[in-house]
Amino acid sequence: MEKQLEKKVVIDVEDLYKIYRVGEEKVRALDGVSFKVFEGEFVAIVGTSGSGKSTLLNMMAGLEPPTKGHISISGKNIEKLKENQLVSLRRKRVGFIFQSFNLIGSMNAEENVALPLMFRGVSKETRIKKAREMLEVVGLSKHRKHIPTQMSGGQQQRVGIARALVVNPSIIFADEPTGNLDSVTTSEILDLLRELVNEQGKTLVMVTHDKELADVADKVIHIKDGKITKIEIKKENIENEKIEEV
Amino acid sequence: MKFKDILGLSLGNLKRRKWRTVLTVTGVFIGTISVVIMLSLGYGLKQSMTEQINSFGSMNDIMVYYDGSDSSMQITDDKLSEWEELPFVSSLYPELVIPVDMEQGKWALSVIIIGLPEDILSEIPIGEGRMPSVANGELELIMGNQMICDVYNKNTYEYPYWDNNQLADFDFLNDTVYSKFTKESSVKVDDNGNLVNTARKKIIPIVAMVEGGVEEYSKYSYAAYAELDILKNYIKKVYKGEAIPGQPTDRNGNPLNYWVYLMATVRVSDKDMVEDAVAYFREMGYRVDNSQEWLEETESMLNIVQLVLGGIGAVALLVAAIGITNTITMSIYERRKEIGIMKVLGCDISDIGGMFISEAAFIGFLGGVVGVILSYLLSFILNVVAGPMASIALEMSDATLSVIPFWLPFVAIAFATMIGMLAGYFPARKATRMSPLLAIRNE
Ligand SMILES: Nc1ncnc2c1ncn2[C@@H]1O[C@H](COP(=O)(O)OP(=O)(O)O)[C@@H](O)[C@H]1O
Ligand SMILES: [Mg+2]
Repeated sequence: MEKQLEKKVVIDVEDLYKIYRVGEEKVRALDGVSFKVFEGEFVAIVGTSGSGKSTLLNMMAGLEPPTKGHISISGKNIEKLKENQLVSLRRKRVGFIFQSFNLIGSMNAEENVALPLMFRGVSKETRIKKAREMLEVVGLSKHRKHIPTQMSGGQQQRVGIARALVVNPSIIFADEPTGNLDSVTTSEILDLLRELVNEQGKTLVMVTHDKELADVADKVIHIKDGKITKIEIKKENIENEKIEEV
Repeated sequence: MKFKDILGLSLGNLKRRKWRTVLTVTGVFIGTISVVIMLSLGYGLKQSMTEQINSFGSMNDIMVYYDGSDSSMQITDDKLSEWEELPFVSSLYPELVIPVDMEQGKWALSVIIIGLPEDILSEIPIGEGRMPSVANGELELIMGNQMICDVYNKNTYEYPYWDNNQLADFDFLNDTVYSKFTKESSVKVDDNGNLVNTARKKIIPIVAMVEGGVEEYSKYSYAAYAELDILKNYIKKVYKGEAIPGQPTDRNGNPLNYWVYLMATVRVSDKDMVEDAVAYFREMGYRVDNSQEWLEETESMLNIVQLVLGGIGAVALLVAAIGITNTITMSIYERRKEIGIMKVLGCDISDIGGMFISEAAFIGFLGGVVGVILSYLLSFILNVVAGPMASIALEMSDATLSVIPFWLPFVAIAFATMIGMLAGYFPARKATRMSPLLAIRNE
């Protein structure tokens, strides 16, 4: 408990709504969501398909504006920011891991990992050097010259993780990072993510529809029909366990 | 993002879609060739025309003509001395024009002898022969290089040159040429009722030919030239108080005691004053001719021709621009997911736009460079193959059909690049507005 109090709030979501209009119908993808994510926390957002997990994650990453409510990242409100300000925020603070990896098909592993550094204007030698370091962290040093089609799904996702990490972001978002992987690879990737949080002190928000996968997290946010039904704090991952009923 | 990296990404992309790039570049270089060649034809025409006009006389010379109507406007030696005092006049000289008939064997021709002051006479470019000597006061002639064309057979009235495209075997320099001046007293009616000139034949030596072949026209091609004062004395002696052709007479039909010139050439001291000088003589009622004026008129006409030609080329370039827009739009459509990923990964929006604009600019640049190179080739071929034909059509010796000014290739490449950028601008803007969510959604 004491340890949590010391920690800084990195993401603060307050009364968030997202309403899609599909023809005449209104879809409440998010229906009044509030929670906090602390520094160095591994948070899993769990819910069935269509429950609004991706919508929530995308809004936290500034990819989509909320209909109503507030999101602040490191104390800064982002819901009113312009697109180029959001892009700049992501470039400086945020790493993103995709379900379908989303590597650039024409680039090899090393170039893919170096890409976010290129966007930052880092020189070629420096960014390739850093990309190699990251590939070593995710255990892919041997594959740095491979293009995506020459790698397995698990390897591609490792490249995706290295790419998210290379800019040394304070927050990493991952939307179903193991959704396209088999069970063995899935646990490998989850172990890797857990390791990153433990060893590098990153804040990680991961979306998954699989409750079991969420066990790896420190905090699990259960979501259903756009509403949070339960927030669990896992005991085995941090000292104190507590279940908040919402 | 570094400019180098933006360029690198665009180039990589163009390389990946080689075939499409080649096709689009082809459109641009065809457009560039059209513009460059069309403009070069205009410049070629301009240059040929300018050279031709220059061959008619110096830009600083204005020709003042007396039309014979108002005797107070007669150009006389007195008037010339007056004009000489005008501030813009650096020098001036009259032209005395005397007609004469020449004969040699069966050949005959009518010649205009133009009397010029010695220093002007010496400006005539001489081919074969020597300059007339002035010192001994003997009348000697320089013959125009195209006068041979006017020689006819006095029995059949056939012109070998104009009728059969052959040259009469009449050697002005070495044959004995007889000259006859037409006097009132010498013209008689013969038994058949024809007018004949019974004047005594004289021999006036022809000592030089004007430089140039039979086909090379210059302002000295179609007359004979002699020193003005010697010609005056000679003619006075020939006509001995009778009316001289071309010279006005008094009320009783007697010749005047002074010379009247039909034309005087006024050399203006400063090129910028030519316009004022022309206006000055026009004001007085003289007809005035000046190459510069003519050149300006011709130039403004050729500018329009060039504009039209350039416009035709520009249409081709416009079509190429549409091709570029199309290619970039396709490229963006294909890579919309990639664009989304880049946005999620924090790529600046302006960098994304810059990537596609530089892709378009590079297509334009490449098309421009290839177009310029091919334009030089085409220009060369045009001049070699079609140049001689054009010379005949435009009645010019040695017309250059296509001239590419030194700055045109640079402007053409810059222009093609700019067109590319412009053509890429709108699709690029579309790319920057695409939602990054495209990248996230799983299909
Ligand atoms: N762009 C959109 N337009 C309309 N409805 C949408 C859009 N995106 C998501 N939705 C709807 O919002 C709800 C939540 O979607 P999503 O956040 O993707 O769910 P999850 O990621 O949990 O599967 C779903 O009912 C989905 O159909
Ligand atoms: Mg989802």
